[in-house]
Amino acid sequence: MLSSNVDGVGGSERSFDFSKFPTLQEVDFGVGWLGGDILWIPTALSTLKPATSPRISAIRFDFDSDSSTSRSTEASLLIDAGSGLRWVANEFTRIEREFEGAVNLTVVRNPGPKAVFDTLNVRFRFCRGNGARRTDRFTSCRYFRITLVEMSSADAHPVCLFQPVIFWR
Amino acid sequence: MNGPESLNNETSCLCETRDSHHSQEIIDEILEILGHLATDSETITSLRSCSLVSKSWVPTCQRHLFHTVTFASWNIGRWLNTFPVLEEGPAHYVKELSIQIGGRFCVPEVHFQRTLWFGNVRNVTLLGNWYGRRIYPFWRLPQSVTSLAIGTDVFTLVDTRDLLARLPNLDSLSHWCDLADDRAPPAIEAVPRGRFSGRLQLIEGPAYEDLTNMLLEVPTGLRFTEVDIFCNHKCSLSTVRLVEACAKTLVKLSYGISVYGEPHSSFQSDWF
Repeated sequence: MLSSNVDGVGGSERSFDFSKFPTLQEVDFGVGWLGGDILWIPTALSTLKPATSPRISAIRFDFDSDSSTSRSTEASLLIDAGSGLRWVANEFTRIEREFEGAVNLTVVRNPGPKAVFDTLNVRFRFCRGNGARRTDRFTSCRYFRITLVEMSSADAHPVCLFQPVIFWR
Repeated sequence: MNGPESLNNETSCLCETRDSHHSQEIIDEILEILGHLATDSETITSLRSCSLVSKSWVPTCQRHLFHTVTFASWNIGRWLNTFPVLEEGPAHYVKELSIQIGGRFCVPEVHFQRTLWFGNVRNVTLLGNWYGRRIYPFWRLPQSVTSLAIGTDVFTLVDTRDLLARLPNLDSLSHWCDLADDRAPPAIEAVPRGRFSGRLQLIEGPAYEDLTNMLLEVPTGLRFTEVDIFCNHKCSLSTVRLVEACAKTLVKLSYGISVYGEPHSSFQSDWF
């Protein structure tokens, strides 16, 4: 049975139900545009549970708005994309909590012009841990990578190693 | 030994003492290491030089020199002139074969049948744009092929199905082009019968629905462990059906999306 809880206009859009994928280890979403509905992505992420996806070890979300911002900056589209990104961020937080840091979560984000980024006002809050830098908004960078690469067995909390990979393109 | 430079020195020494006490096993081992490092032109040149030292050095050198071969209109004749006799050529060493079957640099059709020479080839890439002629009757690829990449729009859906039906060991499939017009499909259509247990890469386009439906009809089922999908817009029903058909075996899912049809940067490097 197909997941259809994000049926949008026309009823042709679906999402994945990852509870049916017991062997899944890695998921990689790349979004090369800004605007429109990406709600099916967090919908798919919402089906990732420790009980049904025991082997999942890495999730990557790559958001590259740079190539399309010059052509699509309509406020309504930004709001749609922004709500999708907020939901993605919330799902990452949930996954981090439920999987107790056992999943490597990576966000690669190219926010484009600062004004567009401010409009989105998206925050990813999974950067925490002993000695780690805590930053949830990176308006000065054009490209970043946030990676949870290590879990401390002592306190059972993931240690976040912040990697500000910056490409000035 | 550390790196190609040391190896080059070593092979130079061996060249000077070709009749010395070095056993063939040791020489083969050195050539194997050199072959694995043969990624730059200097090392490849060294490997070519080694192949001229002795007849006993030739097989190991050729195994690396001809591991990957690309055929286009401008070099197919060179191969045939150099290796006119199949049994004496290095075709059986080729593991990766790329053929230009359309466009400006298309290999002449008379050479298509010669792809069967490459009886141990694993990975085949077919490239070239439609240039006004349909390739028919379609030639066969060696049954040893386990990975097929189709980056050409000269095939109809029937051609593609026919091609897949002749590759029983096919594990991985990449398809990123449109299909040619399919105006006269045959009454009996071939059924893809590969293993389909490797990697699937598809890019959404006019042919996407037909291709996904064709794959979903594979009687043995799909067992892909890795699926890369690139779509121009939303997550379609066909995509969900295709991915869920591999649900029991899927290990990695990559999904790129671009509303403008321009592949996302993280996918571009891998696909193109």
